[in-house]
Amino acid sequence: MSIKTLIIEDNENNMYLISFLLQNNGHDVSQAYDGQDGVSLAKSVHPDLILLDIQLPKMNGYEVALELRKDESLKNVPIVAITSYAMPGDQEKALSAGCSGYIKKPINPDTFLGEIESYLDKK
Amino acid sequence: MIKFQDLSIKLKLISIQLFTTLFILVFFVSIYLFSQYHQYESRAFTRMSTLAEILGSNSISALLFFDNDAATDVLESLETQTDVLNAVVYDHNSDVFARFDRKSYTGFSFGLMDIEKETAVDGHFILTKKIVFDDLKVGWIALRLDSSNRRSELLEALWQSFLLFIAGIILAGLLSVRAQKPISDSIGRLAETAKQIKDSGDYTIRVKSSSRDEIGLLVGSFNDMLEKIRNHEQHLEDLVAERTVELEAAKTKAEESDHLKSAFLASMSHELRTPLNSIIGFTGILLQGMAGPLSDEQTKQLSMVKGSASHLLELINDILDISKIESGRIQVYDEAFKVDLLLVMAVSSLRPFAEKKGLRLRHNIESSLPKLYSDKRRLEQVLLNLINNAIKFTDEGEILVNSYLKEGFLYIDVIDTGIGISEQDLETIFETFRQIDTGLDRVKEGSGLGLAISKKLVELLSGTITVVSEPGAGSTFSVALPVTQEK
Repeated sequence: MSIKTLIIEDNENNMYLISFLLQNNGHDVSQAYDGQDGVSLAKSVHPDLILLDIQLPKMNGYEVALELRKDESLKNVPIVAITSYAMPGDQEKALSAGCSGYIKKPINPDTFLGEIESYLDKK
Repeated sequence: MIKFQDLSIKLKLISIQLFTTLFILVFFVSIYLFSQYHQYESRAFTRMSTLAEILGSNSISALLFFDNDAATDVLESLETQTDVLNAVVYDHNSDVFARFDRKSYTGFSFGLMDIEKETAVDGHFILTKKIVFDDLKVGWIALRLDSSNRRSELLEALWQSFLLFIAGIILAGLLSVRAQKPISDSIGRLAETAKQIKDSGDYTIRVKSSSRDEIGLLVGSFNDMLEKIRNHEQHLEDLVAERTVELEAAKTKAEESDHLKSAFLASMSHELRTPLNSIIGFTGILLQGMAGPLSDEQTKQLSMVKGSASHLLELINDILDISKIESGRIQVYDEAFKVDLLLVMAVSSLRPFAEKKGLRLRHNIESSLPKLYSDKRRLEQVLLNLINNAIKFTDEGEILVNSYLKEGFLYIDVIDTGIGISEQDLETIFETFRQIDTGLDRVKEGSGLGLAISKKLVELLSGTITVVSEPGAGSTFSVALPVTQEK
């Protein structure tokens, strides 16, 4: 059975890149281009893994993570923040909002899959 | 010995008055004693003259009637005048007619009677006088007086003068103590207030003045001066306050712009990484062959794209790092960790890159290094940067990482056999955006910020970083960190 992964990312190129990588490795990918869309999609799709950009239109990544963690059925789904925020405290902010992990952009296609799938195992 | 100059005003005034009084007293007492001495003589002769007059006229009838006994009786009345020693009445032929001699003074001869005279000899006064009746000289009378009283009288006068003198001095002393008070008090008050102001720096204090003399004038000027100082001080305080407000405003503005700069850097970093993410990501995918097989040339060119993109990412990271450090926004998280482990890991992670260039990368770590209490991640960043540089600038030979304890410091030396650094470049090598000129050689990839970042990080960890180098022979970068106990 394939892994259901929800990608919430507003940049089209990056969305395509990550989707391509995951689909090539057998993930069942859902896509949301803004925070609100991401929350409603997560609630309807019930993904196994959520990849979350932080700078998003309508609702930013921190808010999305907080919102998702309120939902009983999404409480234990690993949420991996994927962001280019690189100032001190960004990582802590993502983790305290409810993210399970944090991957800094730009992603390395050679190691990216291994990294995100490690969060599935921890579940 | 205390000098007059060093005496207080009070003592000066008192002593001036006392000396003046003393001088005047001595002067007048001397005059008094002198006149006393001289008046004694004239008083004695006046008295003798009166006595001679009385005795002479009482002896006239005796002389006229040749009655020696009567004249002797007249002279006997001198018995009560204790200082009269001899008295003789002569007849008109200057022969002794009658005489009076006090006991033990008998037999004194007055000599020839020819003129009236008054003489003072050998402690005696001698007076001779004619006895005249109806303008006719009928005889002479001569008196001899003991003047030894003169001395005791003088001594008595001296004693009295002395008592007066003492009384005068005491009186003058008392008066001067009281008289100098208004002067010395007002000067004392002025001096004391001046000292108080000097000690406290309180320029609102004023000296009270009651007199209109020079001291009053001085006090007035002093108060005016204080007023001026106070105004000046107030003016300075106002200026300082004004400047402080200005500085506060400037500081707020600077903080605002610093905040804006940080926000700008954060967003720039984000904006730059987003497209870079696609570039690196897609290149990676293509190189992996996930999107289809590639020719050798395509692989080669895509590898170059990947390399350049990685370099660009490195630049962005370094710029972000140096900005964070320079704006003081970087925090150090101290923890206890094993340095040797960190060194071995760093060396191992970079060994493949060294070996790719045909270089040996090895370490020589002193056994039993203590645990270090520092920021592990930052130290690792510095080490990776130094070893990376060593690999980058060395074409043959080896890179050695030494670590040892010396004088309470942990030393980590990164020694290479690379191109080295000229003396001129050594001075600027730790500055931002400095990269040594490698001449005709290709410019080594890097932002030129690595060493500046390393230096700042080491300083954040309370350590130092130094370099020695010889062009063509290699360089040694040395990091020294204090070995401190966990706080």
